[in-house]
Amino acid sequence: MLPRGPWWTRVKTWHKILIVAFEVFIIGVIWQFLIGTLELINPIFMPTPTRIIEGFGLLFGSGEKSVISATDQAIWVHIRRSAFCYSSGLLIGVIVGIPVGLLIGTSRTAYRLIGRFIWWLYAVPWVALRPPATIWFGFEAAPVIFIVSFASTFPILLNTAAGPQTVDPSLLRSAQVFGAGRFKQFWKVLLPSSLPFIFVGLRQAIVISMISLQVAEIVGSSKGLGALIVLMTSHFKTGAAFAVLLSAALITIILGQGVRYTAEKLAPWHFGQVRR
Amino acid sequence: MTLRRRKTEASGMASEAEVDHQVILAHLGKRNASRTSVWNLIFVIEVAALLGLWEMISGPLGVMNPKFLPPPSAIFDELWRMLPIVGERPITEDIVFSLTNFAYGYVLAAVVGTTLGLVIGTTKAGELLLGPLAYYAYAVPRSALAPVIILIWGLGAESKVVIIFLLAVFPVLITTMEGGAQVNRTLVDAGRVFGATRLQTMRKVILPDLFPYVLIGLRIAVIRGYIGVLIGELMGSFKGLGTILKRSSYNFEMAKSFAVVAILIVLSSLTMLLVSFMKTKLVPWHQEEDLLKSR
Repeated sequence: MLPRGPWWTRVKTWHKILIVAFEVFIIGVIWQFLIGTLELINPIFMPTPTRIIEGFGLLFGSGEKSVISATDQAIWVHIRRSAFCYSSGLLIGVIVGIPVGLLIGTSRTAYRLIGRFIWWLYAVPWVALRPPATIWFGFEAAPVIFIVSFASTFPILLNTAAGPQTVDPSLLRSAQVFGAGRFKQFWKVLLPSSLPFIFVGLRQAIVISMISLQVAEIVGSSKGLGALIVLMTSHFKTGAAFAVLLSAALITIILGQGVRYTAEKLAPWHFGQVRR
Repeated sequence: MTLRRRKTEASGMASEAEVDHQVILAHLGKRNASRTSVWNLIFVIEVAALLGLWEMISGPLGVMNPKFLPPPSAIFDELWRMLPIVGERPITEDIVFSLTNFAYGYVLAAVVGTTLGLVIGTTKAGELLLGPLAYYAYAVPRSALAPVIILIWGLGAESKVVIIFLLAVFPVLITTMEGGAQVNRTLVDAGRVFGATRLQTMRKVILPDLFPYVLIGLRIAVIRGYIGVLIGELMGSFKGLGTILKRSSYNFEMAKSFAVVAILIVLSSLTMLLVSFMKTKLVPWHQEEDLLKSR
């Protein structure tokens, strides 16, 4: 029998989940007490947890209770628009980011020709492009997709480009010795060893895409979750605004965990030992 | 006699070593210099060609309407007009407003992020109790809070500082936590074996090992902070670079908004350089795996 270690060595995964749930509950109770009972901040501005739960009802409820139906925009219009903008923006990011990243990661000349421009573009604060995007692409989904794809391309691209750099040269040489052509070297050696980096980029891109989506919709869009937040805030339904926010957070967490799970399946040699 | 011999020996060795070294260095330097200068030349040509092409398509050739994509010359004109001191219509006040907000929010984020990160990253209880919470809070799109924050704190500088703080604090917090997680256990154990107290281990082993990560977090936070500046000012403000950007875009003065974007890029790059410089000065021993930049 193993000797009993310090207390933290005996904490299991489900203990951790319990701890987090308990902490969220405690924070909720304190929050409720500070704002609902003591009114440190006016509860109209800062909703209490009970009002956030009411907010979910407000969003999905129909008839008298719903604010959205009063403005003749059902919740699903917003959800559909956001899902469309998010997925297409991220898709463009992947389609542009991974090939260009692999190109500048494998070829020195390509990196020297366009590398600096990519670092420059990366330095552009993407929020600054939102007002011009309205002028270029109008008021529908297009400017939002532009912003999301601009924000998501560069994390994917730069992380992917770092991948082929880490390949052990002796692996490439041994592939050459066994008669692999350039394409086969790329497909069998370079691509698999870049896989972890692509996934790291993807995980960053999932978070940054959600942020840019919300920002792009908050600043000058009439549909989407961000626009819903603005709408609810301007009706002083901050509970509903926080409900939208929490749903967005939940979606991001689920997507991030999904990518992490896929990464652990596809690249176990890299993500296997990381515990967090 | 011995002294002289030793001296000559030493000098001889030194001169020999020096010459050798210098030859190699000169050789390498020449090769490297010529190659980098060629690539720099190519880069300059590329930039010139791109600017020329841009000027042509939105100028004489008329492919793009200059109302939508202004030519570089118009942008430079506008930029020159807006510059503080030398320009005709300087925007000094707005730049100062944005930068002050950035400074307040950033410093606040740095202090809070580092402190919390140290607590979470170096203590077991902190890691178990607060670590998962920090990661989940990181996933909340905090920029979407901007409307609510402006509702609570108003259109002035306070709401901007809060937004900048919220955006910039998490990179610092998370990287400090990660830094605490990667501290070499062997070194800590060795310290303990040699009789270091908890405080001494902290000061002599853990903090030096962790400090580079704090600075990396601070570097990431610069970009986030500038994004926060823009979000806050685009959402609702009466002053600042973001306000000018929004106003000029919606007035179809695209040259002006491009000039503001250029100013923003310059400002954020300068801040980044400052933090990077700080990192090379404060933690010269830490080599980053910056694979792409080393090429």
